Amino acid sequence: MVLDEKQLIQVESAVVLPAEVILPDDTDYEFILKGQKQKAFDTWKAFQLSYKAEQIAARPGFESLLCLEHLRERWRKAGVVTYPHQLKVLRRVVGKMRGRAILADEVGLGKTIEAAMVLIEYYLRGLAKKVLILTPASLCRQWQMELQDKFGLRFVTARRPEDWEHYDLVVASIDAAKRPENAEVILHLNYDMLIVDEAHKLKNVNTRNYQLVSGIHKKYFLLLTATPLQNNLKELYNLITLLRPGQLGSYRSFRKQFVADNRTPRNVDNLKQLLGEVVIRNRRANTQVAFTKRIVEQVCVELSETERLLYRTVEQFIRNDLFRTGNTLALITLQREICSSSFAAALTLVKMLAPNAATALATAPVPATAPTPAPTPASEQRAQELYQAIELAGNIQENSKMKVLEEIVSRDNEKVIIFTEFLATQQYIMARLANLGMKSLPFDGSSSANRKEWLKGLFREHPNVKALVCTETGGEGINLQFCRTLINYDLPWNPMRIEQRIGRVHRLGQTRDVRIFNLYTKNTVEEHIVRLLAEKINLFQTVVGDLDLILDVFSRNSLEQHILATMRSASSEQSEFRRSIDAFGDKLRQELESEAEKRSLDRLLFSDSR
Amino acid sequence: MTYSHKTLTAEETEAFIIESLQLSDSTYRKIEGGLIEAFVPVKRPSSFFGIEQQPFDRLLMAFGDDPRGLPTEAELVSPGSYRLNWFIDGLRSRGRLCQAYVPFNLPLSKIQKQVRTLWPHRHEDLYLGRSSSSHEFYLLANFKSSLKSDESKEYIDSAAINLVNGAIEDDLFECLAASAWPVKDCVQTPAGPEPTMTVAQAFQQLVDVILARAEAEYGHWRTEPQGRFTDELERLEAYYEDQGPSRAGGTCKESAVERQHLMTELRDKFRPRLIIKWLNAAFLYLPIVQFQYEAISAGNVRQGQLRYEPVTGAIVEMV
Repeated sequence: MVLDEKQLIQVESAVVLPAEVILPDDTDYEFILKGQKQKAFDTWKAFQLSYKAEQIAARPGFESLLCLEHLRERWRKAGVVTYPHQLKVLRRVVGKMRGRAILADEVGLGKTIEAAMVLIEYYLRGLAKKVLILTPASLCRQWQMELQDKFGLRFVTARRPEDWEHYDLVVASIDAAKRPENAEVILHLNYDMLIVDEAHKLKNVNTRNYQLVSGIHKKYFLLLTATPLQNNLKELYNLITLLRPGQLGSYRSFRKQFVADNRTPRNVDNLKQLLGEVVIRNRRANTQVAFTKRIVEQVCVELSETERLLYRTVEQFIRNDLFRTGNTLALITLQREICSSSFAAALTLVKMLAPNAATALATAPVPATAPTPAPTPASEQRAQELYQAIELAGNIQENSKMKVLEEIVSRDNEKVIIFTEFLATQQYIMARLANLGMKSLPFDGSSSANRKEWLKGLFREHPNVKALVCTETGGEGINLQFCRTLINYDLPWNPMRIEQRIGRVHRLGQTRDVRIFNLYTKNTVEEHIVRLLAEKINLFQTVVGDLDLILDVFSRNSLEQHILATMRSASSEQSEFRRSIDAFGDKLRQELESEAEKRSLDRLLFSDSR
Repeated sequence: MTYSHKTLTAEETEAFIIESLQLSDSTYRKIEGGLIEAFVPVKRPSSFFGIEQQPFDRLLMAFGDDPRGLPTEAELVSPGSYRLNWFIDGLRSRGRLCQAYVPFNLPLSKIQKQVRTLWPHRHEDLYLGRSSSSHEFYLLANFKSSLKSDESKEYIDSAAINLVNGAIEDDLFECLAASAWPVKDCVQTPAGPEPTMTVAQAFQQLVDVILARAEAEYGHWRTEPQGRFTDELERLEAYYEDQGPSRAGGTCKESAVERQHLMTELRDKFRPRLIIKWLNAAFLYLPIVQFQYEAISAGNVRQGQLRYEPVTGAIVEMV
């Protein structure tokens, strides 16, 4: 008899799980016999103590959690503090949710820690041996470091097809994992646990990300997102169905039962109950997490006459060059550099004048016979402007900003972290601090992970090291909450990066109020940016939980692009620049308010998630 | 005797560490602040989560629930800590097999007194006559039983068997620990009757006992995950039935493959397993005393032979 599809399903459902009993095998009593024959006996005392050791090591059921005991000493030394809401999450995920959950705490409540505790709980019991963590590429290293430092788990970043099978504990970017050559391997492996960070990116069933994650064979499955509900209920349905197919029924029945329109649910209580079975969403207001204060000081620096002249010259050059070359990337960098330090800008100016200058110095002179392009009036004009700027920059021996920095650093004995975007500025700062007799350490992207760790330890432990001077790339993924003073020598034009800087010191585990000094130069584009971020958007004072809102809005509105457009269209008058940035700020403010309103749906569905 | 997990107190942890240090002949001393300083000859430390990578020989260990005020170089040894697990790992290579006996060194009068005290028929007057004593051969083994499905539980179980008469002793290890009779290591085995079964047969019987106990005490280890599996499966079936053969534009075949994939995931997750692992074993020679007796009650006289096991306190009337 041939069964039709429905009958087949019924047969499959009737399957009784085969119970497996594994008993001691022959080798055990052979060992005993051999030992008896050879009289290879240990003492009764050793026998008893070995039994006692096994008693201590025996892992109880989930009614007792192992990870807290296991990590106690490590966390004591690393200064990790856990919060009651995190322990509740752990108990709920391993107890009620059976290892499948969406961890959707608001930003800053420690989702990574929660996920890692769940992982450790299963790992210690031998239930999670092969584990895959998928994250955006920018977070791979951070996950790896957190798991190593706080949990003692060494994860490998997989890149090549052979890595997936070879290593049991793997962290990878979702983009690397979905490459056909990798996906093919991954989809044939059996993972005990899969963790996906930034899971709100998995809301569309037709994307390769969604299909990859759905196709991976896994027993335990954690999805991490601070925004489980962004735009509409279908996306939420997709996310829940990815985690636990059938939790909300088929999409047809979900729509019928729970959707009034895309953003308006009905049968809210029922829907909340179903969501509560798979989603855990803690809000800052409902937890005992108390972040320390951010004490922000905007420090205005008055440029010297020569510096002001250089700034105006360079700014005018940029405006001219925007029309001449259209090389926006280089010009925007130059604009940021001139706000940072004359030394950072000078290097770029020299490169712009002679793009091959650096290499030409190191190679043989160009043969005299080589054809030289005839200069045009425009290129002569450009070179003239560059010469003028370089000459001005060369005359500047010290920057006004540096004097202010020196004054702040000398105020007390606190260690400070100084951030700059540019290597030249980093070197300048270090040299000047050295002149003052202050030891500082460089932290930049060129350092290996091990060196960074060593530097971090040196900075923390060595009493004579006053400052850590970081570039943007160097600061990624490091946690420095033992320090409380951060100086933004220059400001990135991307609020996400500013927040990442602050997040190095202002995070869970920081016990003291954090002091942030933003240095900006008067009557420059920097002044407008600081005003926009500090006054219009209130970025620096925003509570951590609401930051994702701001960062979301900025991800749709590039500040960098707006500045560039303003430079193209506006005159060199600072007042005009100011008006343009203000208008941009008003637009962002409106978007923020509208976004906050949209999120009321999130509060409606997840407000009482327990 | 089964053992359920219990969190050690600081005092118990410290006592365990001291016993371990003594067993390994390590030098140690208690120093100020409740710390223990130990010098442990270690060539290559076993790695547990890879914390320690370099060899070391000095340990400064602290115990207690409140780690505040500890010297920075001290490490807190507590249940689940790296250092405690390190000692446990080390102990796993010790005591796997031992041979011991309980010396029979009490005067007969004291033995007789014990028997009279333990005699179960309180209304009878017991008169003990001729006696003989010997050592009987036991195999005692400890096992770890693990119940695994989507969750896990482990416990330690122990059982012993008399190789002369085949009797199973459920609590022998516990009795030995609690008994006033000292256990001594031996190389030469004391005299006694010949065993009637081989060590292999005895071992097999102990495994059967442990298995039967697990089934009796944790019978739900099969049914509970099966119940959870069935619930999940029903939810999945309802989902696929309700949405029809395809989802999100997928084909009927794709849908079937996806469903099969999810069912396999569920089976793998909930499949129940019971794993019994042998840990260690002891050949034991325990004293047995046999008496001729007369028991008198209301003019009735019973005569017979009894067997007294001083370690367990068991009295068996022999037919």
